[in-house]
Parts: sequence; structure tokens; C-alpha cells
Amino acid sequence: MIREDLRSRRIAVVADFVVNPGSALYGRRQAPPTDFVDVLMERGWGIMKMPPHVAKFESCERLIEVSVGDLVDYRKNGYDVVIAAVGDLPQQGVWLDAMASCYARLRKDMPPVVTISSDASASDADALETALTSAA
Amino acid sequence: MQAEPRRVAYVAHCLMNQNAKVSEFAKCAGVFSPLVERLVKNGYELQQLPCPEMSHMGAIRWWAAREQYDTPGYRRHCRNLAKGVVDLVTMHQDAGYDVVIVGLDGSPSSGVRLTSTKTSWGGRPEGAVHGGSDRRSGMGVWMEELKFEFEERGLEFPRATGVAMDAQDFDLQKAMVELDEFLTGDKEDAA
Repeated sequence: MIREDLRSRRIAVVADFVVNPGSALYGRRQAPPTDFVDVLMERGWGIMKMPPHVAKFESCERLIEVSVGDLVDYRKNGYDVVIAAVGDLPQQGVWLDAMASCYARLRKDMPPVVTISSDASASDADALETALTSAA
Repeated sequence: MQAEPRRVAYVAHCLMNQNAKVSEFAKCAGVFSPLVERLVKNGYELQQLPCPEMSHMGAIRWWAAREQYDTPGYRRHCRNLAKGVVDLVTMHQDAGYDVVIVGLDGSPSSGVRLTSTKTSWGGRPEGAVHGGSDRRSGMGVWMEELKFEFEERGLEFPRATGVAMDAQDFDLQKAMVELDEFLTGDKEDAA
């Protein structure tokens, strides 16, 4: 018997900051939660949350590398991927430069990158949908 | 008045991204919202563990039992990931956080209380068509290597539980009652 599989086949790469804006890790930058992640959840996006951008790079390097490897494999198999880069955070909150280096090493193109702000809301989630449409 | 302790949950990757599941095991589109909503309601921040199965065998991997993942090579892969995770957990603990782990019970890798077994699997893959793997108590390979990394650094493995979404008899209501007990501390270390 084949089991029903409900995956959406689309993944949003998001910053720790937009998932945990009130985290103590962010000190004076702490912010109230927004509805951005809730909207992604409601719309069926799978979330790949990158390590906090305030962590030491050495701790995150391997995690970033395997995340990029996963994203390459998803796209190879027809899944949609969008990176939600936070314009007003270092490394755009998603370790974007490190991700780009990994893509370059693998000789693969980056997926669409949408720039959102650290107080992203539902309209920013719309921008992720638009990026997929444009990339299609 | 004492401030509420800060809390963070490190959750199995697929609980926030069902696209990482092996074929036929995705029970929702993307994020498993009953879990995330409970964590947020109970004041937990969210951290997502990597999925070593996905990075090892990819999105179109075959079904596999714990015995097939229990190799030195796969354990080495898990251990490499565990080093970064334990660094991040330590960062949270240093910032005053209470850390818990929520794995995926029934999984050959991410199970905490329950994992999979099928000693007859291997070789020609169609054997799996005639029935899935069985479940037995114990940790999956990834959780075990994560625990070993904590232990080798002289650190205590955080309080942990698993959501049994990979068990054939998964009961959502029962699982959420258990999770509520765990999150509110009524049920100590389920691991």
C-alpha cells in the first residue's frame, strides 16, 4: 500500500532572527515576533532555519555546508527553494556569503534570493511566492 | 520576582521541514505546526537540527532501518554534525537557556525513545514494499552520536523526548498530550 505523502516540495531558507527575534542572543537588537513565519507555516513551506548569525563561524561552518548540499539535492529533484535574506542583518542573517561560497565550490547556481527586513511580515512571504513564479 | 527561565528546543529537522522525509513519510506540507505552536506557547525558542539522512543519501533515498545506518561512515558524518550542534547548545546554555531536544521517535536516525529495526533489509530494495521496518526502544544513530558528543565533552545530554511520527501506530492526540507533559516538566527526561 502506498502511503499518502503530504510534502509541499518547497523550502524557505530563513534566518534564526526571524524565527527567534526575541532571543537573548540578540541583546539590544531583540524584537517582537512578526507573522512572517506563521504565514510560511500556513502556506505549507518547509523551513530550513540557518544557525544564528551571531554564533561563531567555526561552529556553523559544517552545518552551513550540509544545508547547501541539501538545497542542491532538493533542486536537483525538482523541489523549489528560496532564500529569505534579511537585508539589515550581518550575513543577511542566513550566512549568505558562506552559503554562496559553498555553492561556488559545488559549481551550482544559487536559488532565488529574496531580501526581506528583520521585521518581515506576510507581504514578505508573498515575495517568496513571487520569486518562485519568476524563477519558473 | 525571578524572571522566567529562557528556554530553547532543538527539534529534529523534519519537524520544521517535512520535505526532508523519506518518501511516503511526510505527514504535512512543511512545518509540523502542532509541535511548533506548543513550543511557542510554552515559551520555547526554536532551533532546527540538521538531518543527517538527507545530507548522506539525499531526497530520493530508499527507506532504511537503523541497522543500515549503523555504520562507522554514517556515524562519522553524524558526529561531524554533532560538533556544531553541541557548540550551539553550549552557546545557549552560556546565555542562560534551559535546552531540550525533541527528536523523531521511530526514526532510524532521529529517534529518542523509539527507533526502527529490520535486520533482513539490504540488497535488492523491493523487500520494503512488503511491509515497513519494525520499531524497538532506543535511540536512532544520529541521536546516539549527538549524545556521545555531549558525553565526550563532559556535558550532560539535555532533557529529550521524541514525537513518534515515524511509528506505524502514530496517534497525534496521544503524542501531543505526552509532549505537553514533557514541555511543562511534568514528565522528566523521556529519553
